[in-house]
Amino acid sequence: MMRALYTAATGMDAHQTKINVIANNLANVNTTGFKRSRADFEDLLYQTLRAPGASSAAGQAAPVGQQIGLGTRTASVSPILGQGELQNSSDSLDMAIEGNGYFQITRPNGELAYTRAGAFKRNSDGDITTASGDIMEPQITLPDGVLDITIAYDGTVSVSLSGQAEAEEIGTIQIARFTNPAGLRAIGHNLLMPTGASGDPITGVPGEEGFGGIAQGFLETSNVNVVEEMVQMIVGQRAYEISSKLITTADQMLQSVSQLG
Amino acid sequence: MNNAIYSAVLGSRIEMFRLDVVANNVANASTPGYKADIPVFSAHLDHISKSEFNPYRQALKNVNDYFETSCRFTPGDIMHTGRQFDMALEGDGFFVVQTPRGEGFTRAGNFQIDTDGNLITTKGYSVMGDGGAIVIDTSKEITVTKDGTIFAGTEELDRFRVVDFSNKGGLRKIAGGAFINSAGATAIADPNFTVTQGFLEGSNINPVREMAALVMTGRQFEVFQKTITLVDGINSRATQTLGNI
Repeated sequence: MMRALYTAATGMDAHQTKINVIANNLANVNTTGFKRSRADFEDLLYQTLRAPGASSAAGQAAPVGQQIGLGTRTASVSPILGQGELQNSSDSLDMAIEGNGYFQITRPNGELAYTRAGAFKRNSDGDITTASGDIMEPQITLPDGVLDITIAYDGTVSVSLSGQAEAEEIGTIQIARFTNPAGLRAIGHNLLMPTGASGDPITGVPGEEGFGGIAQGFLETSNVNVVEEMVQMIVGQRAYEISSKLITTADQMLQSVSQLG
Repeated sequence: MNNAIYSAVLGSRIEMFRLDVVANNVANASTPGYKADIPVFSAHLDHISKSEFNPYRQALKNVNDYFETSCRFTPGDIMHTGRQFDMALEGDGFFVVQTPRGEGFTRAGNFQIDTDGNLITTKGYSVMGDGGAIVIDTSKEITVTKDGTIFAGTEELDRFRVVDFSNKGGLRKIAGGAFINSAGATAIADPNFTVTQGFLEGSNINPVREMAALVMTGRQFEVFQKTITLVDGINSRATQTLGNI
């Protein structure tokens, strides 16, 4: 049968993926710390029927060749890691990372996960946790009777307690970075897990070389740009349409062949 | 028998090839750095003298002799992405990458980095700089200047190797948006280009052109099919009439 049918199908498949990725980006436009993704496509194998420069029947070197491509495929769906906007919030446990790095979170099974969503809470023991209750690593416990919490740019957490004039330092938030943060695996709940592609986490003090600093009282919004997503959606939809039109044409051609007899 | 039927068969087969090429162009409407293929027909017919031309033989022979694909190297639209490792090449030339078939050339600038900090294409080919494969220091801010020099913070790491060719027809496509030099395309010493970080060159397919080709292919094919039916009718009538004599 015709190659064109299958080639057009790869095009429809790829542009479907593009729309799926855009849908997820748009759905997360208000998700704290969310990084938009992009589907990257690449062309598939080429059938080289005649290589450029091969000599023709008449003995002359062909100036161009004859290659028929077999469509496209999704090479990767990878996050675009640009910084989101920092939005002012009144909660003293809201933190944003300005620059590189991820907060470290201990999951219920003891594994470390990483996130840039800094909307932290405190649990009944006074530990700093995520909204779903996973405890931040290194564990920082706020004592009873805290009046005021101050988190410095370098991650130092100090509290002022009732009846004490001096603020007391109770711990330091450490953050982690990766050689290839685009290789982290998203597991939902704003959490990311290291993979073979991301490399091992490198932990450090916020604000040091290679690490971003902590901005207390701010949240990092998603880096989704609605206008750009809409434009990409239009492009994806139209390419999908043309590919489906191709399938119709190929079908009509085959139909007229079958009516020859 | 009537030669027209073989010519129509040949025409039909060629139209099917054309549809394959259009299908691949359309499928790659969103592939960064993709260059559209144009089907070119019957360049070789000129070399066949009239006495040699036998439609019957030609129709059953390899249809490939009437057909070539020529790659259109016009630039695709350059769009803003804001991604650190997206590089658009404005002007002439190709980024040099290391493929299993030797040096490859690509305009798809959507690079990634692997665990060791190597700059790679989506297919995993290493991107080459003046000092060999480019390795990125990810602890620092990466900036790329117009001339393709890569800086990590203030430290100069490497410079993108960019080459161009005078006769691009000698380049051959391999999968993953890269070309290889299979027919001795001549490199140009000092190509005129600028590298822009955070931008990406899209596919250069022209949807209007592809749609027009698509409609034309469908209709042309129909005409050939009609011709076959018509010739068949003539032959059928000829045999019947002759039989009546």
